[in-house]
Amino acid sequence: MTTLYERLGGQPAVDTAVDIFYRKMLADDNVSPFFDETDMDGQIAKQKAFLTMVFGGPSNYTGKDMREGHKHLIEKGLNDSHVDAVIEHLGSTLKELGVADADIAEVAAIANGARDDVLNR
Amino acid sequence: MATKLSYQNNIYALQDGETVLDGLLRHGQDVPNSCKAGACQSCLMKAQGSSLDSKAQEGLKETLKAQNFFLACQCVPDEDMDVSLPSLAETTIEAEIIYKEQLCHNVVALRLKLLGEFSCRAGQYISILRNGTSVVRSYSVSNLFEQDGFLELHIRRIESGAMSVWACDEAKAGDKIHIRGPAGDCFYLALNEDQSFPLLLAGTGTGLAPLEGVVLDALKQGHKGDIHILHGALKEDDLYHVDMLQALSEEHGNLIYTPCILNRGNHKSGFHIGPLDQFVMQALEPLDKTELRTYFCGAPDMVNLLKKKAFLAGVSSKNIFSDPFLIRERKEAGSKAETALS
Repeated sequence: MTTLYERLGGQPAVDTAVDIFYRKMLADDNVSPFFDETDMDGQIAKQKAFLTMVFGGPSNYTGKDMREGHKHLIEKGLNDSHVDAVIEHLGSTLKELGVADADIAEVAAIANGARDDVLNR
Repeated sequence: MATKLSYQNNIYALQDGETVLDGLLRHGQDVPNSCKAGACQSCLMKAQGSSLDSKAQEGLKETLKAQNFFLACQCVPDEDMDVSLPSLAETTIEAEIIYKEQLCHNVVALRLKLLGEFSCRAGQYISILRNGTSVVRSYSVSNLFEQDGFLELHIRRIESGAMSVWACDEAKAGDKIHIRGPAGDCFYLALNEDQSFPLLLAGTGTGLAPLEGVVLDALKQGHKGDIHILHGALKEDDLYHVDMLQALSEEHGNLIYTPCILNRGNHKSGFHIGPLDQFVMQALEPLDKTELRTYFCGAPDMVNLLKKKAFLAGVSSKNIFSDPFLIRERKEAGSKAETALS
């Protein structure tokens, strides 16, 4: 039985998805301010790690990383609405790439699982 | 975890999370350094017997990695370390200044003859070590070393800059220096022998140096697609190589050169007046974004703005190359800055 990560196409799928996904985030005035002070190359590397994780691939991303990595953003007002927006952009990215609805739902569920870590609850 | 450094027969305690460089500087040690971002490689040091994590060696040549060299600004040790500065003979090549030219009121070009084995790609950068000092600064290579037999660098004079004032005011043909490198991935690659993709290069100030290097390399390798090069400055006399680039563009039908200045003044016709990013986006708009490769160099704010705008316009992140010229803040004697990577 193949994993979700393999079904989606593995690392090449992550590489394709990351540009579409990150472009959606930067174009969304609701979430783009959180990326203002970060360098793009570093951000794209982090988004790749994030997408690999939510695709169910080999990931070194831990809950602790998620907490530490977003703490400074919570002070700037990061909340549930932003996590919702990220999951929505993730879904529309995968839809553009022709991923099946059931797989998109599974990715969204994994992403949603990181919500409490991201929001430090 | 608090760790200790052994350096020049003394022991120095590091604070939690402190880099080797910050720790030694805090203890008053004069360790060469410049960008503190792992790019310029000025703070190269050697470790005795310690295992180094990959971040501390990122971007170093394999030969240096194998000899346990690392970047002090990127190294937060998790165990005690025995460190030393590299000897010149181990890591550098001697070079002689063979020609110096004033390019505009505050930029000079230096041509260097290398007195040892060396190779690099036009657009990469090297570090210069000024003989008899601990000053190290990085500059981009603007020419085709293999073809010309010398390296050409563009150096902007920065008031109180420890390297640039010397380079602009004192350096002369016949002077010897040491260089280290090359490093950086801002160079031309003809992938799959298909050279019909478009190139767009834009930069401010001496950001022109690596861009010229990339253009000269692309033309030499027979690049077939359009090549747009835009050079931005505040005013006309801050631009240089205008005639050279105009002549090059007349010689090569696919090369489009656009000099841009921000402030309207007494300028020749043919200059675009306004913000550089506006003209970059105009040039970018009609190009095939899926194939386009962009190179942005110079002032970090402009480089980051151009990267973001190009990416949002649809340029693939893997096709956006850049060299933000990091500024070396001088803590002593006011807050003068020198371009560390230019």
